[in-house]
Amino acid sequence: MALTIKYAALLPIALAALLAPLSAQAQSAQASGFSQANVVTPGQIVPLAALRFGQMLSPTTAGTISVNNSGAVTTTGGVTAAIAITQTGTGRGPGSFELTGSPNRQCDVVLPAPFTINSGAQTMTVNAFNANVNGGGKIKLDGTGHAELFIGATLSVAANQAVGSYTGSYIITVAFQ
Amino acid sequence: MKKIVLAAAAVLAFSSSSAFAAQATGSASATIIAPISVTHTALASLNFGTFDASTGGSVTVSQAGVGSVGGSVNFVSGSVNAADAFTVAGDGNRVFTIVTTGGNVTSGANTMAFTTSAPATGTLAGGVGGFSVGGTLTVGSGQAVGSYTGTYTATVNYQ
Repeated sequence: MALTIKYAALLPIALAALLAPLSAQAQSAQASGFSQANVVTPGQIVPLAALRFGQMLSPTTAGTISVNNSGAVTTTGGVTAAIAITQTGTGRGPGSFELTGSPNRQCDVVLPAPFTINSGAQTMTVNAFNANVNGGGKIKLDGTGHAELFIGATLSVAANQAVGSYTGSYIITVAFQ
Repeated sequence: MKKIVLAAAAVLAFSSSSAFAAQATGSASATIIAPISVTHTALASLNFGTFDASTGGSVTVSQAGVGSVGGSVNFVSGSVNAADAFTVAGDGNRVFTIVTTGGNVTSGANTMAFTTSAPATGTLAGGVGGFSVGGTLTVGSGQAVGSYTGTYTATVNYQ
């Protein structure tokens, strides 16, 4: 126990020793004109639109509907016929988020784990997420420090899925490098 | 032991100055809508009435239930015409399409053909709607006397 307390006390000292040279470096960088590359503007991510799979009939056989981050809609199984009805309201579309940060930054996007949308006790699973990111899972902010992130996914619908309005939520994490 | 602590502190300092993670919660939605159904209204029927065929012609009943004759056909006194009626149940205030077939009415071995007329679409109000069906019956010259009956099919779908 005595040893543990001793090392805990050492930690703030070590941090202070490291931070001191870092802050001195930042100051000198500003003077030499490299400050803009070193200053990290806190990134922000704000949801704009919900991921919308739209309205459909209850399929007689199971199937899926995929809304891609580009907005393209594809279906399998019984869902193909089930979605062929007029969409009221906002229709189908990918989820979208506004990213704000330092200009031209590459941002790592962490896609969500599969989750369910619910209507009372009834559920459907959402998985197979995709986004308008490059092969490395990154999205680049533009010259003004903005980017719109689109999220697509696949919804699995059971045969004779219960009638209802299903909703759910997911978390998107963006690391502003 | 002192070196281990310093290494941990170095990692913390590095990560806090090079990246910033932000999170946002998005929502997802889908709606399974109530199926559409159509039910024939009890006791309703497309009634072409009672008429004298003479040398033939036609009997038309409008969707409002008003009868008229063509050719040499004449309604007899007391003849009654009626349009047929259906109720529709489904989702909210959706528009639905209506398709009705024609058919034949028969009396023993004797037959007359008819076509039907219905609105192309209807609109649900709070999940409830309905429509009427008229039609046109073709009457042959010297069409045999009798009470003729038949059926046809009405189909509705969400638009």
